[in-house]
Amino acid sequence: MSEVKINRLERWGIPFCDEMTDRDVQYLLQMPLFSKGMIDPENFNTRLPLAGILKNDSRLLNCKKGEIIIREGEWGNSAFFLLSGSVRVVVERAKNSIPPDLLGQPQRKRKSVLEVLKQCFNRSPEIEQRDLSAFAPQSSNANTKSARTYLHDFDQIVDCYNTTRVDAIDFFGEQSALGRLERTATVFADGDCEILEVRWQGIRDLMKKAPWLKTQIDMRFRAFGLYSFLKSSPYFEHLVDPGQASPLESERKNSLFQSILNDAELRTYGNYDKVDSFLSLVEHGTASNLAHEPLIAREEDYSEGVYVIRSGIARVSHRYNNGHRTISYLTPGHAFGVAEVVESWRDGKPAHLCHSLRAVGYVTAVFIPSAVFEQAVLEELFDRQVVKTSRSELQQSSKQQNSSQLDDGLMEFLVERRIVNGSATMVIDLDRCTRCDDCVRACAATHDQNPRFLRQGPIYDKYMIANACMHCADPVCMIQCPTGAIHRNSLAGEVIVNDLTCIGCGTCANNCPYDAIRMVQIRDSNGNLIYPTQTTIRLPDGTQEVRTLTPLHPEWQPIEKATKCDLCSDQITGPACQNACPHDALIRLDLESHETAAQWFNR
Amino acid sequence: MKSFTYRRTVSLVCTLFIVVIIMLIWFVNEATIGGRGFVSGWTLCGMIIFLTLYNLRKKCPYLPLGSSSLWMQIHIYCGILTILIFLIHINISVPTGIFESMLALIYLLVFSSGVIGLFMTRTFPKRLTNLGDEVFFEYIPVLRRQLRDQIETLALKPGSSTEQTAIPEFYRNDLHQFVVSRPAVFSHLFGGTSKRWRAVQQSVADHRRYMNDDEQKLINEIEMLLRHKYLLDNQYVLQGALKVWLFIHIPTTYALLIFMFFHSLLAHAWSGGLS
Repeated sequence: MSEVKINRLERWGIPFCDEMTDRDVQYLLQMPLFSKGMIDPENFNTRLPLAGILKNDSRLLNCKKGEIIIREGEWGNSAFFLLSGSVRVVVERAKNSIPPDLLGQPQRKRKSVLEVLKQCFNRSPEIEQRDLSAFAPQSSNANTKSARTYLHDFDQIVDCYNTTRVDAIDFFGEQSALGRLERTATVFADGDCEILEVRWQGIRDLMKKAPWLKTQIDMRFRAFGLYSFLKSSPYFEHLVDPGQASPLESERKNSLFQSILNDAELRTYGNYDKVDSFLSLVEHGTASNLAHEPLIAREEDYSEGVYVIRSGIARVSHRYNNGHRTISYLTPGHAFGVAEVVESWRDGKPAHLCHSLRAVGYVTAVFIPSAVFEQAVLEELFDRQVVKTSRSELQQSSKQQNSSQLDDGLMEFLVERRIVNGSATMVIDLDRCTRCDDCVRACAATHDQNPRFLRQGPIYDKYMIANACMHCADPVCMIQCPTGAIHRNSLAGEVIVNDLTCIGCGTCANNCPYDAIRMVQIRDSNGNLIYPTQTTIRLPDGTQEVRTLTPLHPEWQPIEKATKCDLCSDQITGPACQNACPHDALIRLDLESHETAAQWFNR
Repeated sequence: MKSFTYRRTVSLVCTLFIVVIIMLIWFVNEATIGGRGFVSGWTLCGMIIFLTLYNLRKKCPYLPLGSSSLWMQIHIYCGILTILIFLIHINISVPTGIFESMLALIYLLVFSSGVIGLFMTRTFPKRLTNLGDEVFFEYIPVLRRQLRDQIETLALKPGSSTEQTAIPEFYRNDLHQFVVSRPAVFSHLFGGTSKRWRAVQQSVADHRRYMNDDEQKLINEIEMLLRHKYLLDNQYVLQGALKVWLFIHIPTTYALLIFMFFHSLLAHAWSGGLS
């Protein structure tokens, strides 16, 4: 039995930043942001005090002019409150935004060849051994400190790129933190400014106790989320990027874009922080799923406009006999109802929807009314007399639009079990798999001698979806993690577990609908299980008491950590499982891309 | 993503191209310096060493040495090419010496086990998929033991409505042997129905006509479990074969390497040295 002093962590066992002092918290509490009418300290109780959230879930950043705070495309796990000073937000996205080389994009950390060779000769005989020095308090926070990067030529960048100034008191970055999405804009300091960065678990708690914050976030979600999404949508490219158009023409297009912004609605379906419904949906069959899936648009109803999916996955189905047949699924960027709007515009009479659209889990979609879409897109791009779309063509429209070409049954299976949520789903072709377990061995060799997946899972025809983390587009495992240990890698977006901050509560493992997360007992360098020597008891008055544990206490249980596939993010070879399959039977498939999936399934 | 047909076509064309080059070299070699076999011998030796490296590649999945499937493709086509070099090396004749004969036999064992292994890896997975349930090879003995217990509990259970039944006797006489027996390896391997399984089915069918409704229900349950056992046996044999062939292919490869080493020493010693 090990006597190493690693104790079972709690919600605030490892703070977001260990440099936050009580003095900093007192200083923050005197700020106007934390007053009546905004985030009122009196609304927080002793079990979840505001001071506790500020001390453990946040950190103070004192930024200098030109310091980059967030970069477009990175995956966010925190939001930022601008306490004083101002920042600049880059309005343009993608190709019109600041190039990554000017932003000093940090490089993905992979093992060097030397480290890989060391890995070959340094295999531990025991499974799940940990280097205990990494758990020391001073090292556990190393990951929260990031190198500061500054824009080299601040003035030129402000002149060349379209930016907008945001002044204190304000906040930003909350949409990607709460929505588990990529950052949509780059933000940098406009001068000296003071920023409070709060990890998303803290934001979640602040929202619960501060109605003002919740209202503000909802409002901004609808206002800014809509604007940034429409700007990047290919349907409105001709309005956003007028090219060589005359000033008059540009102004007309701007006013058209403005009319879309005024009339478009950002609609949400499902509940983004509920996992129970998702879990039960995965376990039930199609009929049950359809009954529980929020309906976005119903087949045979009059077409009222176009739905463009912003986040999540939506099922396109068609009534068949006494049920609904899944035709396709839509991922972010895909639109529903375009063909019907085209038909209605061409024929000058209302058209019926050919298919139904339902939310698979949590979906946000932008609804653009027919009249606006016709005026801003169809009238701009097509000649009404030339567009010839027959009803029968429309019946197949969704299938053609998404060029999925997947077998009907397979499509039903993938959507029914929410496998389409995966961005790196492990699919095994059983007709080629010799059950040699080379994939499992390769995974074990790269991960503490313990494979991070099971060669088991639901099967459709000859395809098995193995119980390996799919790195979901909407990772529900992250929703209730108390410490934020399970998070997205800010660079590539893989869902990974921070071993140092994981408290072993098992919430993520219980919430994962695909049984892809496993709790393991960790061992020290001698191969002994690690037991906690102390435990923290929270007393009714909110104070904490540290008690020494002995083998007689019921809490004297080996320390556990959540483990899951990390897509071998630190390995130079990429996913070891796929790389080790000699028969091309295994692949990590991004099901968001219909084309790639169809190509593999039809190879 | 390229289809398997495309990949196969490209690989075959490349292999044929190499075959043509090898044949040309052979003809030129024969016509000029005469075939003493050193060129073909060292080529064969190099190819076999390269083929052996695949096993090492598998042991280090984290080294950036290319994907295992790429190695496998090269392994297959390079392995097939070795037979041509081998035939050239032995001048398409039977070796006369004991050592050479053993070396040739070991090579043929490695080659044929490889070809059989290739055939099995391309055909058995489909058969395994068709069997239905996915079972881990290591769990099969446990599952078989559980099935046996279930069958015996049903067939030999006392004090039910089937108290006066002949099912326990029927089980002991006709079914027990099948339940406890090892899988019928050859019939499962070649996709046939085993004689023992046919006998069990026939015997169940024969006894049905003497059973009442309760017994019919019971025998239906037992028959379902027997079928499950038969399918598990099939899984066991097919998965076992997919593992066992490597236990022939790999050790014989190492034996081949050792024999090759001494063969090259002898060949050079008797030909006046490497010079």
